[in-house]
Amino acid sequence: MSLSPIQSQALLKVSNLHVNFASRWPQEPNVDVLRGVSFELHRGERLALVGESGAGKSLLATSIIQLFDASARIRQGQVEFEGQDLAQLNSKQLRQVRGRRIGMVFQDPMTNLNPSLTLEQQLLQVILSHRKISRSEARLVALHKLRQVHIPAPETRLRQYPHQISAGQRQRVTIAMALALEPALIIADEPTSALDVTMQAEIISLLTHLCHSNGVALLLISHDLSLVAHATDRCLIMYAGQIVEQGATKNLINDAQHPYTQGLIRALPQMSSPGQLLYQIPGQMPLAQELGHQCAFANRCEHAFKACWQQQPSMPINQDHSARCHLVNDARPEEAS
Amino acid sequence: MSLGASLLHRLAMSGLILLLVAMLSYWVLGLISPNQPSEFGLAQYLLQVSSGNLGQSQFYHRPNLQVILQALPATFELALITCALVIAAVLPLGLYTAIAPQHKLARSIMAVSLLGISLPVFLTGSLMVYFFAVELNWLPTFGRGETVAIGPWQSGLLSVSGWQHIMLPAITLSLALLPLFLRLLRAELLQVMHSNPVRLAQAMGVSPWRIWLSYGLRNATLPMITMAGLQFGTLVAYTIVAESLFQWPGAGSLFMQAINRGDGPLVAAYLIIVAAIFLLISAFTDLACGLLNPHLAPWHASNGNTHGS
Amino acid sequence: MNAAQYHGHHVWRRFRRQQLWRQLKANKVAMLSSCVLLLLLLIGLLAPWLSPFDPADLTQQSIMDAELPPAWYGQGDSRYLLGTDGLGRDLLSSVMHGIRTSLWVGFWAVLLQLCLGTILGLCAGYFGGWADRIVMRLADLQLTFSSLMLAILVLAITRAAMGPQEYHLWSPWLLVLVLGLADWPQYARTLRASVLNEKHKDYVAAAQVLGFSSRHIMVLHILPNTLSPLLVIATLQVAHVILAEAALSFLGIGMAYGNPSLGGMIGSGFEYMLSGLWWITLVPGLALVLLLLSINLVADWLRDALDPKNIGQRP
Repeated sequence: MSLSPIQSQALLKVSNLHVNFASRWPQEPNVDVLRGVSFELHRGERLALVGESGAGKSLLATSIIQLFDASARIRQGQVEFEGQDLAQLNSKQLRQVRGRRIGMVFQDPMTNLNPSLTLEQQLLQVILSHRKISRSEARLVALHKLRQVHIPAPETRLRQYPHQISAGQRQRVTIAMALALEPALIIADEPTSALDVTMQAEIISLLTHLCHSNGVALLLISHDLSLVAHATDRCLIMYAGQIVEQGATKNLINDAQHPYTQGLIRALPQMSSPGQLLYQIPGQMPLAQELGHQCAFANRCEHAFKACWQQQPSMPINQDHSARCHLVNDARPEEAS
Repeated sequence: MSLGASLLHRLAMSGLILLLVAMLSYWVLGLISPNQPSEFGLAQYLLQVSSGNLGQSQFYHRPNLQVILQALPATFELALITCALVIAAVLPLGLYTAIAPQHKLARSIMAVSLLGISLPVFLTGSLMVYFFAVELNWLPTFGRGETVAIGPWQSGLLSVSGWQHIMLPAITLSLALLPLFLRLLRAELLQVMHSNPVRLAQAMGVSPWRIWLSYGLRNATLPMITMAGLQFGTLVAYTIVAESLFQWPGAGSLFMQAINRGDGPLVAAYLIIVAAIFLLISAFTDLACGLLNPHLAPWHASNGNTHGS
Repeated sequence: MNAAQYHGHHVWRRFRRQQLWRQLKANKVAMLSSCVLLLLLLIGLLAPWLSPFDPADLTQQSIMDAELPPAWYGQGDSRYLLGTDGLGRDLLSSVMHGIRTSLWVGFWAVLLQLCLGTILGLCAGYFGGWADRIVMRLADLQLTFSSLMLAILVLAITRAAMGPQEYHLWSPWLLVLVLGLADWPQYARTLRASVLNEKHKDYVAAAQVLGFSSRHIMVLHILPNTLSPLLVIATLQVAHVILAEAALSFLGIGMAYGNPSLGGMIGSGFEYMLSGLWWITLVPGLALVLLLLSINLVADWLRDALDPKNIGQRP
């Protein structure tokens, strides 16, 4: 249903984003945790962001809406949403964007919903913060959204507290909250990681279906490639604070270019080969402080060669499917910035 | 345990404690006034106490219960005004120092509160007396002023001079308690603001003041009440000191006078009444916490301060 | 507990001690208050030798020299640097001895609290069951009642029973005893929480399997890991005890009015204040505030420095 990416202007454009944490000790230099992240997200598009824990996915999500932990800050780069650089907005302007234009779904609804407020109170707080309507009107909106996420008997649910409903229903409520003001983009940070496997597929399907039918763009963050495989149009692979591969999800999975992506795919358990040892990418992702000028994946890469240790590979621009890898790019005639 | 059973349990425990305290007070009576002809043994004393007769004061020659009850209104009113002052000051200051912890003013308030913890209540009181009475002569320093009777209750809050007299002692006491509650409120508010539910609310654009009120203050209430309950003993102790300093005719100075005069029966009766009051207050605090618990305790139990993966 | 774990545990501690010193130097406020505290400690320790006069020696007091203001005032006398009180005693000497008294009571009372609280807390946490329930019940009771209130009641009654003269002979020891016994719950609770936390860790199970006795495990394995919070509490408690002693002496149920106690001096100086002789109350008052403030600041810094979240970060 979406317009061709080339024809429409990007809804969200992140350019060369560097985010660091202010060090506790003044002598120690601030270390970048996000190192030059760039990508585009178009209206109605469903984009997956995949990476292991510590890669910086959640930091990226919170950096987009400028909701930083005490010591995190943008050192360089831009976050353009609907034509505005979000980093330049003051808090009042940001509040107009948050919730209304960009909705958030976080990982664990039990710790993200306020346990001492009823669901009605929490939903209404969000709605009434952005729309000047009466309480009863807001309540109707809330009920409508709850029905959209397939919550049975929504009137009863509204009166209940988070701990009185099941985990799956809690996450549906969070999705309803994110959709309540009909935003243009929803960022879902590991929305199913705290749920059982049986619920995961259902929630992902609900989320993507709702976004699709309402024309809402979706940035779906996960550590599980298999989960997002069928649910998204495009996919970004994140490693050690950088995007290392991007492309249409189908192409990425069938024809992964970056050795890390290939490793991820190999590591997925295959029903077609039962009884085989699961593959694991050897080694561990380096910490932000340990990174130097070389490619971050070099110490774990089967194909690493001399250039990988000397210089960080760059990400080619304006290609449908690209990877940040010397092996892939050196073979191509065009070099990118 | 069901409500009825726990109530019964509580009553039984309180009864037991009062019994023990009564036995203790009998022993104290013998310690302080050994000359007094022991007309009654322990059993008779206990029977007497359980029927409400707490003996007669050696000094006042009136029933102890009456003497103590007459002194309670003064202490109660002092405590009331002190609490009102503390609440009135701690809410705005706590909110401000939590909302803008980096501001110079907020930091100086916290620095002053640190100083406040190191200022003993009797020193603050002495300084207050010196400045406001001796130097500036704005407020009186001794006694209670004019009191008006509301039935058996002698109230100092119904006359101008009564209010003038209660000001210095109440301000001194509240200055002694303020730093503790201020730091507690600030710490609780800051902790709330870094919690996951607040992060979600911020991500969804809920306005800050709504967050501060319905998440911040609301969830800080329970620890504040718990702390107030815990600090009750300290409040009483400070009140005794303040009453001595300001010659406030309350139950605290009554106690010290009884000690100085060696009035055994009065001291013994005093112990029983203090125990009873403590039991009442502790029951009250537990009740308040119990009522608020279903709504507020889950917050503290499941509070996730870790910001996601 | 395998050798590697044990070894690592001690190396970590050594590393932390070095880091502590550097952290102290970095924080100016903490550095300043530590110096002040150290100075006050020295004054307290060396008071009998440092002070120009002996407050207890009646022959050194002269009623003629009573009520003199500090030396930099007109009527002041350069012999009495901070002035004299109503009985002609040098305030500087009295304050020095008062600091000594406060520190003495603070030290012994906190030591008593620490021992009692540690033992009870360890037992409650490690053995659980009825030991745990009894200890916690007692702790709750004592916390509700507040140590100062308890001290006032107990000491006041003791004084009434003994009579003022006899009481003041015993008061220093009684103070230490009562204040020491009154505030153990804080330690016990913290320790119990730590023990419950550590009890389920692997190194304890390993020690049990190896056949170590409960006492051995508790003291040699669990206790060292819970020392940091105890240290912070103990420091704060020194200030708390000093404050309590001052309040009790002010009320007349602590040290005798004659005995050098900062609280007592403030108390007896009160009546003089009303006639405008402010220094008799203010000088010991300032000394007390300085003492309490420096202890509180150091304790605050210590709490932040020993916070487990900060361990391992390079300065």
